[in-house]
Amino acid sequence: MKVRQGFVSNSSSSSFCIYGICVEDIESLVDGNPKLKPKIYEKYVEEQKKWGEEILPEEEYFENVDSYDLRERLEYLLGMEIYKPGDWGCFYIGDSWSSIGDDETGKQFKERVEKELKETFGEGLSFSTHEEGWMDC
Amino acid sequence: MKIRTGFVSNSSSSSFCIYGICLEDEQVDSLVRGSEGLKDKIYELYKKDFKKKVYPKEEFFEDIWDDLFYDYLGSALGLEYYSPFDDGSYIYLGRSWCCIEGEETGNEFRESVEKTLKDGLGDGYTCKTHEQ
Repeated sequence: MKVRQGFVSNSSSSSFCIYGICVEDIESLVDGNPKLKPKIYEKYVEEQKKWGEEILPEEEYFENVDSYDLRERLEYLLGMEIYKPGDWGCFYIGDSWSSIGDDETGKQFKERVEKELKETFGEGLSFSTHEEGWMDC
Repeated sequence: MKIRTGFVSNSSSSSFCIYGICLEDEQVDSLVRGSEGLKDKIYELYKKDFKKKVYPKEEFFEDIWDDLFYDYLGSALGLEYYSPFDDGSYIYLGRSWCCIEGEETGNEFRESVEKTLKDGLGDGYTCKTHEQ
């Protein structure tokens, strides 16, 4: 089965500086999250309908979906950025420091990101600033 | 003033996301040449670093390594500097977004960078976010 990769996001850029978390893979993050899976599937269905393409049953969709596709949908649902520098390392999920609001303090920015990610992925996350730069080859 | 190129520091290879300005090396040359106050600050920093053997001021500005010079320039202005290209064609001066203080707002952060640059280099510079 081919899962369409329909749109390009900012995450293709070659550097980032975000406050957030680092995870080994997002498939397992989504797999163990009963709240998140229906939202992701809902977004998938919405997009398939928009493009007039075949809609897979939920179970089949999650069996075949790749990490790139999941990443795009998660970015949309979270309203945050997800990066995977090159083909190596982990996934970085968070918000860019440069997106801090005009009247938002550094502390409020951190609290907002932490709250959002904890609500989605649960407690026990380790937050910090992640900064990477690399060349796209 | 001749700024020698070829010295590689961490600032040449790391990524950054700052709010500030981007200058061509010729611009840096002329703005430092035109500001005795800035030259004094840079020379003082150099003297502090190299206590035992220091070159006279004129000689120092004639023959300084680029990264060392930019490092002093950043310190003299109270800002960070980045020179991401090996040929030293451009330098970025500003503050990293991730260094925003806990009680500082986005607006206050921008204003502090703009004020620091205005105080150090004068008017005519437009700040924005630079990411590499």
